[in-house]
Amino acid sequence: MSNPLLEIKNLHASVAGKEILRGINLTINQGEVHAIMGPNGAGKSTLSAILTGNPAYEVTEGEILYKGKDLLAMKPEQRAWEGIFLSFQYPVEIPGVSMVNFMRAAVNAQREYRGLQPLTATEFLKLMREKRAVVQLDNKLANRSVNEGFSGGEKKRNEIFQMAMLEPTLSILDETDSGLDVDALRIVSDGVNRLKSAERSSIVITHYQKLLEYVQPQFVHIVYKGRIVKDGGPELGDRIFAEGFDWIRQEVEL
Amino acid sequence: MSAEKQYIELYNSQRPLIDANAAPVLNACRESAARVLAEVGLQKAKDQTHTDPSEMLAADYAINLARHEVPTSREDLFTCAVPEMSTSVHFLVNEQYVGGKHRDNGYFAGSLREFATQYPDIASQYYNRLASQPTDTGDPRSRRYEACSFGESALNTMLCQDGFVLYVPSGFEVSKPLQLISLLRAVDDLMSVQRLLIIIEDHATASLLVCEHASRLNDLSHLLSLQVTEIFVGNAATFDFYSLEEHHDLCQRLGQIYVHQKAASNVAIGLYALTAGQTRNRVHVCLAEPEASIQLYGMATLDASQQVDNLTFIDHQAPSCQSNELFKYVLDQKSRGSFLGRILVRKGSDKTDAHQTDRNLCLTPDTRMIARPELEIYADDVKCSHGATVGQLDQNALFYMCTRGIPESEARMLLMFAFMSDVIDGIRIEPLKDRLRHLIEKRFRGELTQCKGCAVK
Repeated sequence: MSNPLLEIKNLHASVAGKEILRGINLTINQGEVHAIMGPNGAGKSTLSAILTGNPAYEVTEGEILYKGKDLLAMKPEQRAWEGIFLSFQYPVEIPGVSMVNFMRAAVNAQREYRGLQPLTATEFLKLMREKRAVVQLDNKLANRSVNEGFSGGEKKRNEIFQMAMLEPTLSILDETDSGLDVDALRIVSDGVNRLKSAERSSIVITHYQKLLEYVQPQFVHIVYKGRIVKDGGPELGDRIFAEGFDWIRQEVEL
Repeated sequence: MSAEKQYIELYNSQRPLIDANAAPVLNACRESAARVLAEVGLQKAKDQTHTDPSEMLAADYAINLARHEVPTSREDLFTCAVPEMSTSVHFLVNEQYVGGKHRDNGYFAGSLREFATQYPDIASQYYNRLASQPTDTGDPRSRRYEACSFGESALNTMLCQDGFVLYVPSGFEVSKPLQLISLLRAVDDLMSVQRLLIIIEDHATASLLVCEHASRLNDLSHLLSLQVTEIFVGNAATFDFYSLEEHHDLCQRLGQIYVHQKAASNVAIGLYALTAGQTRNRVHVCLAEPEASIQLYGMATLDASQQVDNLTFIDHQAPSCQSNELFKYVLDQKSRGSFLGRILVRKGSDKTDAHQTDRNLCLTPDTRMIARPELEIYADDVKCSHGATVGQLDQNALFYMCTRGIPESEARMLLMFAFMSDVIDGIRIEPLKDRLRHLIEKRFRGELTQCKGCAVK
């Protein structure tokens, strides 16, 4: 029997008064990998923003249960403590805040929430070293300000590095593959696959076939005009890559 | 009666007392200062800053003209805030140097009164040479704004009896940074007429940290510090001057800093206000000879009704000089600040390299910040830039951090701290840099109440 981790029910959301999501229904069980696809502007990134509590987006209707709890009532940091992680499509540069201080604050806040002692400096640096190796992130980058002066690929690898550090229960990868060359894509995918387990789930938002080949989702959902208009297995993804979204549009508009 | 008249009357009636408790070199400047004060008066806030010196000085303050012994033992008063630097600590309680006779170390660091008495030739060569000159702005339109504070300096000269002197003779290097702890302390309203005279002769090197503190002995007494600092830096000499302010809400500070730099001299000035009551600093830097360079940094972290105004004027009078100016404010609650920064590049000052940056964070809608950069360039071959911004914390960065589990308050703190990092990195004394980082972090965490750094009892 499957255990639901995330249940999205009739979710409506808007940004700056414009309705983007118009009734999303989606259930993700423990251990599952779901891919979300759809044309630009369909609402994929809005969904990830809502799941992480971005204050710029407003939920107008519906509910989200995460581990059976009301997710929408939680602050962004609380969602992180509960194990939700978003790999940003556009990671934010934070000049003056070093990666080390940033990660230490994040890891220790999570530990505090879980009733654990903060890591000592030695433990923390050891953890950084281990996880950095997972995504082959240069030591020099770890000593710099968060994302500042990172290349596009380095920013994405840095996202996966943070994910490896925080070991989320639900990870959302928002076009993590865009702008990556094949080698970087493999490194990122390896990082994602290493986290897979019977308890952890992922949502992968993508436009590209390659990432799906690597991470192999069991479920594929097509979002169009703020709704999930089609659900399927990996074969649905294959058809999108072969034929595009036009046939979906035609089906929906009929 | 206007504030200036009140002080001139006091001076006329108390002249013998003032003179008797000072030194001839100081006394010789009083008469002309009184005339200047009568003529130009005290600055009224026509310069868009928040503070109005004539209003601040209108209150009825006591002045310790009779030089009553300050009933304090410095050991009882201070635990040093910057322990790594404590090798050479000097104390001013109000304007009075506390610390006994000067010991000869090859340079002089001690009481102004003692210095002016022992070395009248040197003292008269420098004392009041900068403060007695109206600022020549090279532009009659802004003369009134730049001439401001001329009256306050004259008031200081008219009543000045003591203060601190650092005199470093030609070629001498003071290897350890000097620290001057300046403490305001009184049970009644008091005005401290404080004077600093700093003379760094040719090829000499020194650095000085001034910690501005104030005891809060009760909830009633207002303390005003009227400060004039004159800094002379000789050929190829190096001098660092840092002012670290931790005043409380009943304090006012009216400070004038004059800097005169000769050829190839290298000066760093840093004005760091961790807490303040009402503060108005005016800095006038004259790059008089070629290849002189000045780094002028300033910072204020304000909340409640605190107020800090910085008015700076960098005067490029010679070719191939450099000036690098950076001011940053973080304003919270109902605090107010202003930065009025003027750079003048005079005709003939070719190869000038002048940069000014002023960045400010207003954390609440109730804060007010005035930023006014002014660049006037009358030479052709120069590199000049300026930028001034007033904004809020980056909401995207804040959200990004929260999604990693960093609590919002902690994320805000990290961002504010990051905002201040470059202005701290500019400090050229390592232990002070570390100490200030620590103090600013405490300040942003709300753990720094007034005068925590020095455990003032």
